[in-house]
Amino acid sequence: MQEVDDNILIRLNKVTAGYGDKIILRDIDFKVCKGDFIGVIGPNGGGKTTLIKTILGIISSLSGSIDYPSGIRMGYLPQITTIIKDFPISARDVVCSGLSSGNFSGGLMSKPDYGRAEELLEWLSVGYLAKYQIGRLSGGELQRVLLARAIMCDPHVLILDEPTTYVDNKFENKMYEILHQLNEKVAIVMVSHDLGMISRHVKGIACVNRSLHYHNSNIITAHQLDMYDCPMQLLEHGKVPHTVLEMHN
Amino acid sequence: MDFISDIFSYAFLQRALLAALVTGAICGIMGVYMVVRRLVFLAGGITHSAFGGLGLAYFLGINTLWGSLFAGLASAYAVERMTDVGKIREDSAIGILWSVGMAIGIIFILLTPGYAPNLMSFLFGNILMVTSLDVCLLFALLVVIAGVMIVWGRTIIYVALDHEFAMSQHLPVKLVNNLMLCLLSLSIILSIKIVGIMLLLSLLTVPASIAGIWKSDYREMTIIAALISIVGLVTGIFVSYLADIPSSAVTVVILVLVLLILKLICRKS
Repeated sequence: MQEVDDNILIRLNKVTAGYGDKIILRDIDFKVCKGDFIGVIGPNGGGKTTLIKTILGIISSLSGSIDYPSGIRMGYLPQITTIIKDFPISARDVVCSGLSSGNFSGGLMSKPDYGRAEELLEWLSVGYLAKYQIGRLSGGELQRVLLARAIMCDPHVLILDEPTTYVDNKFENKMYEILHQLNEKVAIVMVSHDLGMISRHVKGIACVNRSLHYHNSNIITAHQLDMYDCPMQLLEHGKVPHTVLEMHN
Repeated sequence: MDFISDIFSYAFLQRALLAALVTGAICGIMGVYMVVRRLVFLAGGITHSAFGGLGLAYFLGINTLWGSLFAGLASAYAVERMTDVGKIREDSAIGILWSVGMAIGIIFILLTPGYAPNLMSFLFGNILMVTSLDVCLLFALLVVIAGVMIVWGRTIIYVALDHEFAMSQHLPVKLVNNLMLCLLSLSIILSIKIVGIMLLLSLLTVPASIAGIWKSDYREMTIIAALISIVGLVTGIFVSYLADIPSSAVTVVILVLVLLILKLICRKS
């Protein structure tokens, strides 16, 4: 018997996932609850992105089940966007495409909620981009537009795959601020290599390396890193103890 | 003017103009979709492999439209199977079907006893020879395409824009892609009669490229591309009427000239 819990938004039961006959993740049990802020860490090729794409339904699981309440809205900010850059569409319209899982009319004549899209862009300090064709945006600008797209549908869960890759330090800090604000209402799952940031902001950590181990705390121990063969840096500034790890083989 | 009065007296001219209007609208709408999704090469493959079915139908003595319809849809499906199951690169699969279609087509046409007078009109089309059936089918297709765009346009645009994100939002990505590929194949096959196999690709690409010069909104681009295609096709008929040269060739040359001139003007300003 599985516990019935209103707080659970997403639950993965014994999920095995991969591409074709190449299995990346085996027998994963994982759940995301309301209010969660989960950092997903692990080595390259360990299956972090595969985990996220399986949760989102971009790749279908090979076995096991994924449960979520019907009508759940998930926002998604990919690591590498598959967006067609020279597509004839404005940044504002791209943000509106984030509405497609919610109450959304697919008709050509329907007016999308430009007001909210512009508010979101303004909030991310890129309001001036609203009418730009997306091909004209820089990497950092595009990342903000895609973040706006991810939160456009007012998601229950926000899933971010290395969201700070293309942004400068200033916006990186602002982004964490924004995520904190959002986390009051939205559960967040975030893949990151920046363990310092993770340990400062998240509430729980999922270590993914072909399998998944969940730690209900934001403290990353050297033992954990060693166990999961995570070749990552632990960087902190200010009055925080430093951990310098040995090189992995 | 003779041309205007002749329109009223000759049914074939009326049909040709009607066909130009409808084909122009179809090629405008589907051309923009094809260009933004970078399906130009695939469209070329479908066009040329349709020639295989066309040749077979000609050999069997049935309406060539049904032959090309079957071959065109089958080749679109075959490309997907060859890449998905056969693990052949998509552009290689298209290249193979492209030339196989032409090969089969020419073999059957030349196997058919007697002289093959229609070969030129297959390759370069002849808008003056369209039948009422052709016009009806084209019109039905336009109604379907316009209906699909009006009802699901935004979904189609979002799926084309970013398929992975669309999947994450649980949009029916596979269904939308297959539906649009089907409509593109049908548009191509029904337009073969009008502009022919060799020139069809430019009717799909050039208006979309011209529209793309000054419009960066998908819907506006579609409307402008459709208008440009229509003007190009009607001008083609008019010039061909005056000078007795194939209208499709005139249309293509005019459209490409317009594209060239606009590009030059836009570079200067």
